[in-house]
Amino acid sequence: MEQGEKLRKLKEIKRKALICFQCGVCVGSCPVAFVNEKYNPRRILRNFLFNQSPPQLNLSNLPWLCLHCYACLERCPQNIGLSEVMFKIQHLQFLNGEIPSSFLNAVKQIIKTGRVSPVTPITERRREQLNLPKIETETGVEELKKIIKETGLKKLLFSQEEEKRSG
Amino acid sequence: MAERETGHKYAFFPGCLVTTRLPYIEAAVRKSMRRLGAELVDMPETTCCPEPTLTKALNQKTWLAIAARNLSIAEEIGLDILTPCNGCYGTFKTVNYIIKTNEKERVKINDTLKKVNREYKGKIQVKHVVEALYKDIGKERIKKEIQKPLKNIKIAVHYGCHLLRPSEIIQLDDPEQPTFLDELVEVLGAKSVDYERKMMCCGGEDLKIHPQTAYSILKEKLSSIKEADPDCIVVTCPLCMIQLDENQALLQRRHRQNFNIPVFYYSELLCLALNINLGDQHFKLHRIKADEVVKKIVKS
Repeated sequence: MEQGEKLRKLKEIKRKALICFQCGVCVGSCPVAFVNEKYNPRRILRNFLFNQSPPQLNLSNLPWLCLHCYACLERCPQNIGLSEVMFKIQHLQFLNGEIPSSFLNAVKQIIKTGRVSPVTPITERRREQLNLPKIETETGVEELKKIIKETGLKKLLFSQEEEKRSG
Repeated sequence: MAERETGHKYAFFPGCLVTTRLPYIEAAVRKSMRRLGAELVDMPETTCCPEPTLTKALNQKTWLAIAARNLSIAEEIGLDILTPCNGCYGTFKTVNYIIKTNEKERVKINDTLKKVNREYKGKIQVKHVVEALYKDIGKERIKKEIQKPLKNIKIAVHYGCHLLRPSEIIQLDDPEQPTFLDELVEVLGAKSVDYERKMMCCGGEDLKIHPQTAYSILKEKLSSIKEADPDCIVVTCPLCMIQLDENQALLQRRHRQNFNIPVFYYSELLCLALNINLGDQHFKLHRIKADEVVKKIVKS
């Protein structure tokens, strides 16, 4: 993706989030921050707003720890919607190739099978035990693949793999 | 058995986790809804909702279009969509909200859907199973059908995040102090017990990125529940079920944490109260043994 496009997306996040006055109510509401002292949503946002510029974000894996539980979003006095901002930061990280492989693999699983969790022989046996209808072959997968292509996700995933191979 | 007349009919979307990993939830939902006169119509052409945290982070446009495609299938059948999963519920509620309130987005999403010969006009509603029970079927109807009230059963209610938040979009109950699920539990004759970390996330979403964080959140949650000394926990989401039941068992095995609190999906308790036979195998699929609580209810 072009640097100009990334820069535009970065500016868009900043425009929305610069009104943060660092009160920390997000930290007090955050279950991740409660158990993991490295994760501090207030600090992540501050560092992102003032210290980072593309192409290197170097935010580590921390933003991916956000559970998107929306506890902070309900309480933010500035109505920033931090959970939504976190999605956009994650998106920029993805564009920079800073994405945990477990995330990528889960998305690839959805694209390949139409489901986030696979149908295994255990699944089929359990469903039979419970008298549940058999899982039909996924007729939706072809349409899903077309949507992935039309919306540009396929290209983004492909260019990442290219970069990894060459870099 | 003939359906009893109430006219409630839904397009049924169990979601990936329920279909593949926790089909016993699907069994309990199907049986209890049928008993209460609601008809569920299957939607074989659907795919993953898609999962609310992965696809949305990678490409919002993709997330919107796949969700709208699933919604369009329900709209084509002419029914509201019903799901037992908080994750699917969150995705569908949010995308439906965007399509109903943002004309520009609706046009863009439908431009994509055109490529697969579909259209979503935004005419249907999104409902969670427990929402349909509370709002459509109603507490009175449930109360009338109860054969085995859950007397002397204390329950710790866990709502799960996406059943309530973001409240501006979900608009189901108060995001900090909800009551409707507690009411649904008490209608069955049980007592809902309060606990300090009631509104805390189960932590399940971090299993794939940082399991240690997910387990630490779970430990905090379960410790708080243990203090209230309930007979069991009730959930409304398969990921919360995996976290609270399967990973509770894992904590016990690996770290000798002895919580030992059985976990039920709401519809399972509903089936017990309605005296619906779930079969010999059903509760064996739970990781934390549920036999004692089940016996206590069945014998009553």
